[in-house]
This record gives sequence, structure tokens and C-alpha cells, in this order.
Amino acid sequence: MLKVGLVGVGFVGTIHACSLKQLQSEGLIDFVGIYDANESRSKDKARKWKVRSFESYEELLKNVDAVILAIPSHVRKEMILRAFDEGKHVFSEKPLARCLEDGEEIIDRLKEERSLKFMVGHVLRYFPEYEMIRDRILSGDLGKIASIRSFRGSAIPSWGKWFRDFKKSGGVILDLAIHEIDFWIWVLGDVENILARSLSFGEKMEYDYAQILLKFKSGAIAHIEGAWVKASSYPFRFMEEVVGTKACIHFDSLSSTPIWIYTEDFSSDYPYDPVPYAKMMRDFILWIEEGKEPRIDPESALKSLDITLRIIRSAVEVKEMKVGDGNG
Amino acid sequence: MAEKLRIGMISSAHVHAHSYVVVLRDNPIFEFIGVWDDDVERGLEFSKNYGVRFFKDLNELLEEVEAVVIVSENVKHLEHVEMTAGKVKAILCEKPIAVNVETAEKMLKICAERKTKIGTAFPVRYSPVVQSMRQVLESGRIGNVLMIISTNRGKVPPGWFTDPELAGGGAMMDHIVHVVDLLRWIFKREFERVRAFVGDNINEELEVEDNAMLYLELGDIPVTLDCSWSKPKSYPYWGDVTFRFIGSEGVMEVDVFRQTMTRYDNMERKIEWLYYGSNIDEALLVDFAKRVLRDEELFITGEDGLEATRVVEKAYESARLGKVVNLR
Repeated sequence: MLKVGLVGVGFVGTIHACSLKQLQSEGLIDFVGIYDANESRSKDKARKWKVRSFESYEELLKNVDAVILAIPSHVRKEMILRAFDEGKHVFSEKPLARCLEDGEEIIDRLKEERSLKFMVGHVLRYFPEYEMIRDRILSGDLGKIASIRSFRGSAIPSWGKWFRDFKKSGGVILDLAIHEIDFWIWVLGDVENILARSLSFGEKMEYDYAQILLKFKSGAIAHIEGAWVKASSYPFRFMEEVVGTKACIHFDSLSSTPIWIYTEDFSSDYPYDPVPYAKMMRDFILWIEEGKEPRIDPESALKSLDITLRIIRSAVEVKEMKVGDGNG
Repeated sequence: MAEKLRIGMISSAHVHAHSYVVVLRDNPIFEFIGVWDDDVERGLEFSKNYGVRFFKDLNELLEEVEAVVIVSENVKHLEHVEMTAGKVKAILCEKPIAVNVETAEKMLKICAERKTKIGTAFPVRYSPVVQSMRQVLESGRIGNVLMIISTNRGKVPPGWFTDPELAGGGAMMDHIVHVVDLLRWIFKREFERVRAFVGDNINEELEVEDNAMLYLELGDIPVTLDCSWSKPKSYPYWGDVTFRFIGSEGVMEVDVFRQTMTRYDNMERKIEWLYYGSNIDEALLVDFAKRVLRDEELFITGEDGLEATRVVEKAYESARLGKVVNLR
């Protein structure tokens, strides 16, 4: 049975652990163990999940066939390449890398290692709302797509200090808006014009907000927002509006939230079955075990990274970018 | 009894004529003399529908009134100002005041020379939602405003609105000026730069653009404005004016015309949102009347109309040139 290890057990690492536990219970994999630079956290979680806590990344690699990397963007490349060196399949969180050179290096190395599978967690492609939007577009139900408005935002993450350091995370565009950017490139194709602004490029950002205008080769225009709001009361929310010549689709996660709980605190729930993260992880595992092509191929993750970095450059330089003008 | 303003209406071409005439006819601050229209058939029909007097001869109407509201097609505003300025104390002109800056300047010059006040109909300033929004912004509750995302979307309007000869343009001509005026007024700053992303048309049969998103700089604040006619035919409402203000301390989201309830028809497949918010057209007209009666300066001047038109003119230039354009 395929032996899988998880590296990084923070916020998103914990989500992936749930997926791995589920796949293990279905007899698809053996969830061997975890490694986290924070040793006490690693041991706590290992006890909770009844898996091994490895002392080092190297030790974990020796004991697995595939590794799930849920680690900060700026340290991703080294760990991905080390896994390739050891002949291990890799699933990595998005973005592919912090800069284009790193992303290209990963993809180039992958071309030499034809037997290895590599997937980047552009999980939006597995969310049922987004599956529906894509199906409606590709089936022609909406006609020719003229414009889209896309929003994703929350209070700035309270976990992981590295998010707030632009050099490490790339801010709200590279960490959050890349979800929408990747999805829309996946659905609509190539981008031609980019004009973006964002608010924070420092080491200790208190907030970040991006407004992005895109023009696609298809003739469609797009307005994409990514929000990390300072106020902790700001809810996690995503919205999509797609305008086509035949119909328009509008979606707002807040108004589609089925459960609201009012106690001293205030909370809501938006459950899924199947859970999109688990669906994505299953695709990764089935790719390794049965050779079934998944929805996210490495080249498209590189393309999303490339466009996202051009968007950041547009925001940093306060300048419109035309794709094809040179590199991002 | 308080003094009344004797007022007439020039043309009934614009959709707003239908809401204005009810206020002019019914609100006690007005003595509504009647309507003149260069399209006699349209004017007669209009006067019959609302039970008001129709004047075939403009001069007969002008002899009896102190003020007029010009509600004609966009390109006819200059002609109608020429015909009325000097014969009345004040003119309230429908938005956009003109289809280009040169024409707006001519109109203002004529009014100044003939000592007639001219105001622009930007009724959204009178919305209690906008007033409250402005107070929050001025109170500093969300800190300094760092970025603004706005929309003024609608359905494709009927008749001459989509005729370039009469409207002077499409969605950009129709829907840029309201938001531009509100932001100029609230922030007491001018727009410096504009870039218009115009996508392929949603309604392919139209001769004018219906799909546009702008990037603007209000002083140094980046603003995006979606001014499209992107609401489909079946949309339950006319459209929207929305803002998202990103502040250094928080975020404020505003949907100016959200005070609605939903009506589900049982005879046909039709759903509507019914607006129960305040009547901003009435507030606009009553304030205009009070100021004219007291011989005060108008709240929304012809210059305000001109500055909004400057943004529109430059947005078209940007779309033509495919780049950011400076406003001055």
C-alpha cells in the first residue's frame, strides 16, 4: 500500500491530515507519519492522529512513497526538490513557488523524473460551486463569457507569521487571490492585459487588499479581489459573478451558508460532502496508484504562478502589464 | 402657505422623467406648469399618462415658469440649455450633463452669461444610505481609506440609450458619472487617472459598449468601477450602486439600493425586488426647489456635472488608446 507522509501540521496541514485519515480508512493509503519544524506540535498532532512523528524531513522521506507538503511558500522549492532526489511523489500547497525561477526549476526537474507525480493544491478546482460554474460555462449554458467578478477574503490569517511577510508569502495576491486567478485561467484561458493594485509589501503587514483587472484573450474582462482585512470580525467569504451572452450566474458564500449559530459568540457552518480537499487528495493518490490524470497538472500550476507574479508586478510598479511583453 | 416653485419639464425622453413628473405634480413645494417635448407624440402621451399639461410651444411654457428640469436625450442637453437659459432662474439638467467636456463647458458658459443657475441631477447624493456611509467615512471608523471597489450596474436601458447618435455612448456614458460624483463629493478630491477595460459585448446586437470596468485614481486612492449593463433581462431588480471601502482599520461594504423585498409572481415565472427605501429623486428635486426659491447656490452644480463628464471622456480615450490616461 502507498505510504504517505505529511510535512507541516499548521492550519492547512491539519486539513490535509483529515483527508489522509479518510483515505487511510478507505484502505487507499498508509498514513505513516508527520514532520513539523515545531517538534512539540508535531508530537501532539502525531499522538492525536495515531501516526509517527519523525525527527527530520529526511527521516520521513526514507519511510514514505509520497509526501504532502503544507509548508510556507518561501521554503517550498528546496523541500520539493529534496523529495524528487529521493524519488518520492509530491503534493504541495499552492502557490507552486514564491518566485518564477523556483517554479520553473521545479517543473524542469520534474521533466527529468518522468515516473514521479507532482501536484499543486489549487483546490478551488474541486469545490462543487466552482465545478458548477465551470460546467455551466463549458456546456455553453451561459453563452459567450463577457465578464466575471470574483472575490475571496477574510480577516488576515491569525496563524503563521510568515503570511504577513511579503517576501515570504507574496501577500494576499500570491497566497489567496491565486485561487481565483488559477481557476479563471483554467476556465477562460490566456490573459492578455493586467492592471492591479494592492496595499502591503512589507515584512509585518497588518492587512492586505488587492484589486485586479484582467482582460482575457477570449474577449472577457475580469475583476478579482483578494482581501486580508485587519478587523478580525470580517467573515471568510467568496463570491463569483459570471456574465455571459445567454445568462448570468451569481454566487455568494455568505448568502448560501446553511447554518448560523448564535451563542455568546457567533459562528456559521458551510459543510461539504465530499470535502473538496479530500477529493483533491484522492485524485493525487489515484494518479500515483492508477495513473488517472488529475485536474491539476504541473504546467498549469506554473502558468498560474507566472500570471499571478505578473499581477504582483503590476501592483508593485502601479503599471499595466501586457502578457507577452517579457517575463513576469 | 409656503412659496411654491413654478416649474416645467423639458422633454420626457429620459426614464427619470417618469419619476420626476410625479414629484413635480404632487409635492406641495412645486407648482407644476407642464411639459414640453420636441417629440410631440411622446410629449402628448406622457402628459396624458400623468395628467399634466402639454405645451407645444416652448416659449409659452417658459413664460409661466421660474425653473425647468431638462430630461432630454444626452446629446440634446446643450440645445435645450440654449433654448431655456436666461428665460428661467435655474435649470436642473439630467446626467450626464453632456457627452463631452467641450459641450459641458459651453453649457456652463451660456448659463453664466445669462445668469441662470444650472445644476446636475445626481440624486444618489440624497440617499440616506449614502449620507450614513459618508458619516462613517468622515468619522474615521475604518481608518484612512486606502482602496475603493465600486459598481454601478444595470440592465440594458430601453430606446435611445443604446443609440450612439442620441446617447453619445453606452454603459460608460450612462453609469460612470453617479459613482464618480459621489466619490468626488465625499473625498473632496479629483480623479487623476483612468484606464477602461472594455470587454466583448454581453448583448452582441448593441452598437454601444455594455461591458466595461474602470481603474481610477481618486487623488492617490485606487478605485475600480464596474459600470456595465451586465444585469440580465430576468434580473429581479434594475441594478445596483455598491461600494467596498478598504480602510487602514476596517472595511465598509455598502449596497445603496438594497432596501428591497422580494415579490414572487404566481401568474408567470417572475421574481422582483421591490424597493422600499427613500425617494431620492424627490429629495433631489425638493432641495433644488428650496435653493432656487431662496436664491442660494445649488448643492450639485454644473461644474460637478462637468467634472464627472471629464472622467467619462477620458475613459473612452483610454479604451481607444488601450492605456492609462491622465485626466488633466
